[in-house]
Amino acid sequence: MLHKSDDPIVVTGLGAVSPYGLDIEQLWSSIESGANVRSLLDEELSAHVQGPVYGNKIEGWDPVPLLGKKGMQFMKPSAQYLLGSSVLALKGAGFEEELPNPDDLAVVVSTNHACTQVRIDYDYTAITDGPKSVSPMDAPNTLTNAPASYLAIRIQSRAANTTIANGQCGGLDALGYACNLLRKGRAKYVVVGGVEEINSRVLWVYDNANVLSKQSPENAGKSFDESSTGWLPSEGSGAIVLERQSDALARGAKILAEIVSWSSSFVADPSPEKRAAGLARTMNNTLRLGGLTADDVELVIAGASGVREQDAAEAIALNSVFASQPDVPVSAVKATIGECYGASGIFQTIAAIGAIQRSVIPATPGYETPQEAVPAIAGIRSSARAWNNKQDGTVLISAQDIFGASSAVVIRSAV
Amino acid sequence: MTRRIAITGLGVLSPIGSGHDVFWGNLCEGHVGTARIEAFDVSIFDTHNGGEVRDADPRSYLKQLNPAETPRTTQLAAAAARMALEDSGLNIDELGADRVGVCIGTTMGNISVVEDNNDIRVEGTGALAANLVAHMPEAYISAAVATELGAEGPCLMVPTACAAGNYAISWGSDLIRDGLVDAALVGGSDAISRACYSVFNRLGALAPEVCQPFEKNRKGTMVSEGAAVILLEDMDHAISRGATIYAELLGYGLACDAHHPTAPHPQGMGAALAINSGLADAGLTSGQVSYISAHGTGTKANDATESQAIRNIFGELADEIPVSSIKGMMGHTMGAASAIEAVACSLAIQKSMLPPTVNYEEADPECVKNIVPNKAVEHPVKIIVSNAFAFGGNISIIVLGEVNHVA
Repeated sequence: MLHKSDDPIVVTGLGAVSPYGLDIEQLWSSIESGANVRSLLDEELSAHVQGPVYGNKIEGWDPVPLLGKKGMQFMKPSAQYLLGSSVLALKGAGFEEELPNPDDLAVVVSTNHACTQVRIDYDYTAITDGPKSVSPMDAPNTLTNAPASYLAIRIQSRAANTTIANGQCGGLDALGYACNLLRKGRAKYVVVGGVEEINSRVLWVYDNANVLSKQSPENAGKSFDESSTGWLPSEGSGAIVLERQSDALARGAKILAEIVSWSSSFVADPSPEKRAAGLARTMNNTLRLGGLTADDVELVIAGASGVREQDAAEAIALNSVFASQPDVPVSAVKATIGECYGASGIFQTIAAIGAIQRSVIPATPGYETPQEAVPAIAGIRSSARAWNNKQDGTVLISAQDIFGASSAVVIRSAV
Repeated sequence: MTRRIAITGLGVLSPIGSGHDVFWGNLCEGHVGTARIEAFDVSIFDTHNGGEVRDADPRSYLKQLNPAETPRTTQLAAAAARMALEDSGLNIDELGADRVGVCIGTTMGNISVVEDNNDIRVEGTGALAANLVAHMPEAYISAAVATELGAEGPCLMVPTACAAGNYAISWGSDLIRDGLVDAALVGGSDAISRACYSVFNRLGALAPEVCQPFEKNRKGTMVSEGAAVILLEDMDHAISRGATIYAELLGYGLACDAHHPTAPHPQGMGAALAINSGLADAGLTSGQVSYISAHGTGTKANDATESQAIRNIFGELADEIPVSSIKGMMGHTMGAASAIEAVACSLAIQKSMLPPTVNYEEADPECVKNIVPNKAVEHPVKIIVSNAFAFGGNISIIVLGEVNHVA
């Protein structure tokens, strides 16, 4: 969808509300070092899950200092997290004093479970206490587009407002979608957000999908490692401000990175070999659309989150795509961030931009032993390294979803 | 050169019938497909009517998916997609599986899983199959369509509520325009939902008997179910294989009211922005539009603000261009609505016939005047603007046109 262009799409602002706090530098440091904030989720949260589950939960969240009081009581945590990360990203992009013209500003949000708990509670209340007992103010919260809608009202964004629910690929797909809006002249600035929350019903869905640990829950989320027992659920929101390079330069904005290309594909067959072929096709297509080859890639921010079959597929795909440079550095940052599902792609991209800005290859904590019978990834390390990015600082970011989609984005240092 | 987009396959399941022939026949006759809802106990609500798909079982269309592990919204989407693909005569394997994309929209997603589980909680016995719960995420709907039909191009879910069908169509058209795929199965789906009924009931937005878009005495909308998927195809490819081309997709417009979580902007600001943007994308002016397929939900607020937006864009022509909302016949099929309306628009173009707005007797001075009342009328249809609005201020409009092979 994005081709080499005279007017590249660039990143000018980043924001995050995560278990690692509200500060991007702090988030980058945590991702680099492979910090650990996981905790055993309490009984209320794990009420519908078999056995104990660890997660990366945001503790002590108070939206008021960042967002004020107005309207907060009507929003679920997902909407609050998204508003928080987006306000921070817009500030970072230099829109602190004055927001863009509403007709120039669009919102694209990736989320899967923003409304899951609300829907369940809404219907349950209606059938047990009667339909008059449900709250009219909660009505919009039963819809997945609620966080994006609140955000549009908050920042006055009228150019477009799209919510994407594409599992673990949604965050990267939201970036692809947003770049298309900019390329087609449908917006001048886009806030691209990803958000998920952890609650008992989200964990219920994850558990039924067989992605949470059935035993040794402490070993959840060890990307690519033989001992990993499932994904480490995470919550929070990341946001990225995108615009065309000419507009960024014209207003004197600091350019953090260029989004070079996006693509996606689908494979129904769940076998790691078939999924690997799909993911490899996606990676190769994305590079081709950016006018690049695998040899141009200097770092891979992988999507592996500790689910055995998915990690195996990605290891196979990376070995296939990078056959000509098998030691390309690889970081699986979900070992630190956790699996933030619809927000993961945004957090991966924030991590990639951090690597470019700070010339550090993030750690893949917990990585010791590759899975048996799966080709090892030569360029992965359990601790951070300096990154001597010699060329353009080209980073390939990849994701695959349990239902069969795979997506990739290529970014590089600003010219 | 920009590629042009042909609509070459239509699949629909609706409260007025399934399969585009039955659907179109009942549409032209002004058949009302809403009635007392049977899928769940409506006695707890103030109103009781809605629209259900009763003439077809979506499960019977599934060849790859296991119906027992497939929630109804997904079943409806996959069935509509299979109908559209078969209608188009396109062979995905010959084209190349990775050259076919999928994009589906929804309002309530796989809500039957939520409601079935709540029934189990109340009754105190039973359990849902793990794979049914695992398939609850909305991403499964589009993934299941791709799985059912073997499409391996980009596959996306856009849960942009009641405008979702048009969002999906728009994204599919850009995938083709930009050469990422050559064909795309795009549309929307929503199963009848007690939770959705509860939402509209609590907002006081439901009509007791029938849905009466643009009528002076309209009392609200009606919660319904349905699905439609259309096959978009690169025009040159469609022509070269001799496909039936119902219509051309000429452009789209997106906007957001940024006004209120559930109420439309009082002057229809976002709607006007999106219509303007869609016409510009299609390279057309408002004077060239032959027919407006309205969102027309039958609520006081929607139909009046939509009329304001139409007046704003079309000026003096606003009361001359024929306008219909087919929701009078089938109620509001939520995320499917604009996709079903795209099927109706494609057929209106092909057959030079305007679908009616039923239950229409007295004009509302606050609304546009040239409503096509109660019966279909023959009328040349060259260009259609089809509107879709949603909670959250999400707005997507598409522009369709007569096919001109020579151009």
